[in-house]
Amino acid sequence: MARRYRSALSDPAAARWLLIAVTLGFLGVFLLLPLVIVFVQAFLQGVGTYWRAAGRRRHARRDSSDLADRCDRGAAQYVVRRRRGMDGREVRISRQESA
Amino acid sequence: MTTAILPSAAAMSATAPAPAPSASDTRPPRGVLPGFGISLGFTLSYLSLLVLIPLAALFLRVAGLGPAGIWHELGSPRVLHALGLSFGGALAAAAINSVFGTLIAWTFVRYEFPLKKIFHAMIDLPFALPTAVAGIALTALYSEHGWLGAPLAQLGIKVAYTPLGVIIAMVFIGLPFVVRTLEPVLEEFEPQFEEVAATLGASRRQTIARVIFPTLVPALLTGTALAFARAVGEYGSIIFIAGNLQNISEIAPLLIMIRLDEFNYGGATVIAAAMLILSFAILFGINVLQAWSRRHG
Repeated sequence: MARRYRSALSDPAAARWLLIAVTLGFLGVFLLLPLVIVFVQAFLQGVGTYWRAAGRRRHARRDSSDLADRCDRGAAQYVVRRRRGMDGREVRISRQESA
Repeated sequence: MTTAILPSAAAMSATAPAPAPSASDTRPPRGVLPGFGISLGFTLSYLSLLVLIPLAALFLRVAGLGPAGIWHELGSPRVLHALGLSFGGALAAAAINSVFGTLIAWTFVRYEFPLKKIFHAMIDLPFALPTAVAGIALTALYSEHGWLGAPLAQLGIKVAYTPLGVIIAMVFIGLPFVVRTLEPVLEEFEPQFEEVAATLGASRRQTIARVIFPTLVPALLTGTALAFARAVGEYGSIIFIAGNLQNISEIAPLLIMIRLDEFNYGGATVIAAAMLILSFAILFGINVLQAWSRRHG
């Protein structure tokens, strides 16, 4: 029986596939999913909303706080509160929006 | 055995010592390279303008508060908790990144698999993505109704608005540092060393643990230190997923912002100085470890 020789430079197939699986799993969870969710959220209300948001700064700002709002109301309120507190101009814009 | 066959990393780090001046030479000793004075002057003034003077101003401001003022700010439980979370979280995230970053770098350099190029290009995304976008994306993902948050919540694990969420965001922004510093070292690693180890009777596991891994340690420490430093100072991507609850998930950089909002500049500078000193101590420790690993690798 001829013995099969394995290259000294290669790892067993099982180890190789395990490492590839760990790599893809980690990258999938930590990089791919956040990226996908950005696009999903951007197009959630249709392409029309996306273009309006992309085209106009005021809408872009409001939509971004809508996005945070969908994540969690508390966090969004925190962000909005913080933003208004820091910049006087922002307060004016926010009031116009709510009016 | 290992020291004899260490390739580039160790060799590159060894800088050539300046030649010893001969006894008969009356001039002050000079190195072989000309232009020492002007390059030192340029380095120092550049470093002063960008780093030393701003930092000195910070410490001057802190010193102006006096010991009582400093203690009043630093001793508050809220500040201590924020510092603990920032540094503890950053250390945990750096540790996670060092393990997974090494595995990922190894997989990318050594193996072929479908969509490898796309995944490889994705590694740098945390650098390119605005941190606020990353923060919102992570929050959407890990909040209780998110794609990952909902199943985790059923298991009783809450990620968003907890310290765990802070660590997740820190892992996200630190990963590229470890992968990108390790990749070139792994790529330059000569296959002969592995073949020699194999002909000398080393098993594959021994080869990896005693021949390959020691050459990676300096780069791994560099990458881990960079990931740690970035995680400690990170603000944008963390504040969304952290929820910023006092004494639970409030990080030190945010507390500095809050102090500035309150016009409490003294308080802000005290926290900043504490972060600087702690960061410097930890980075210095990593540097010492790195120098040690180069000598004993």
